[in-house]
Amino acid sequence: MDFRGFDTLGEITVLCIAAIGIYKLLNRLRLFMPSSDSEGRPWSKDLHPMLLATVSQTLLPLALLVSVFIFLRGHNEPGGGFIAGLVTAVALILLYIARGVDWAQQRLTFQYQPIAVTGVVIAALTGLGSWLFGHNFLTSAFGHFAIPYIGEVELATAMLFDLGVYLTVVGATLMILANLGKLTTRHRPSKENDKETV
Amino acid sequence: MEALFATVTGFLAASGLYLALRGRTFPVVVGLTLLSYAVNLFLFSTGGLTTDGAAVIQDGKTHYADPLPQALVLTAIVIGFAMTAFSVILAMRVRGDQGSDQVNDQRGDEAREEKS
Repeated sequence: MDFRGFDTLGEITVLCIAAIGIYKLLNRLRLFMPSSDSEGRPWSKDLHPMLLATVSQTLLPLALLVSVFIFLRGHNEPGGGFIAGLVTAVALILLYIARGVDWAQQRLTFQYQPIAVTGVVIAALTGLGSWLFGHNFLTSAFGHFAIPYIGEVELATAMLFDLGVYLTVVGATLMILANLGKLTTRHRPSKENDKETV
Repeated sequence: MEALFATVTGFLAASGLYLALRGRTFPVVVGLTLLSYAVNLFLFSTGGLTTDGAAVIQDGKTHYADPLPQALVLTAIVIGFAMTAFSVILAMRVRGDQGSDQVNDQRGDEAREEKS
């Protein structure tokens, strides 16, 4: 990886900016929420069907495994940090959909904004790091290492860059979709969340 | 192949432009999305359309598709994704704040005049 990383760096920067913009737009947004559909029928009481809840929980470790596979494969073959991040984000969003915001919020306690920003910073620093060794921006150094029990593995600084991309995509996607889902709940993104009576 | 591709791109662009000029925010958002699809397809076709070309370098293959438009369009798709998300949320925010999804928003103007 060399100058070809530029477009990815640009992509994740745009994605991060858009996600932060969306987060700020959703701040203190109140939407009218009808209690029935257009023909007056009330919404289903069964908000979180058992089948989806069970399947989504089983699916989570498998999806994480697939995303790790795609992440590691991305160095020499199609794949990479971006799509691995999307797979992880989809699995986590499925948890939100299947179990509801309250349930997911208790278990996913971390904030998404720092993750996305950290990702961009890691990717940019990896690119800048090659300057220290007198190479062009985003030049990747790589070597082959023998790790016990696993065998010879190729490690490259491109992987660090990919890690940044991965974190940005997970953080930004979850920041957009999870905050959108929280709008109608008491976890609504708002500065006066604590003072408000719910 | 080229004729079909050009027709599809043109149709998407025309539909997108028509919807983007509608009076409510939802068609505008859908129109912008269609327009970005049309632009993506156009960017993809800038390298010429290759039939039966391999996308990734493999052993024993000599016939390849042009990789540059693919890289371009990949970036364009991601930017389009971010832009679509942003415009959807912007439309929602307008709906929440003004209580109306009109683009030229007459109801919102009246409400503001009453307030002031």
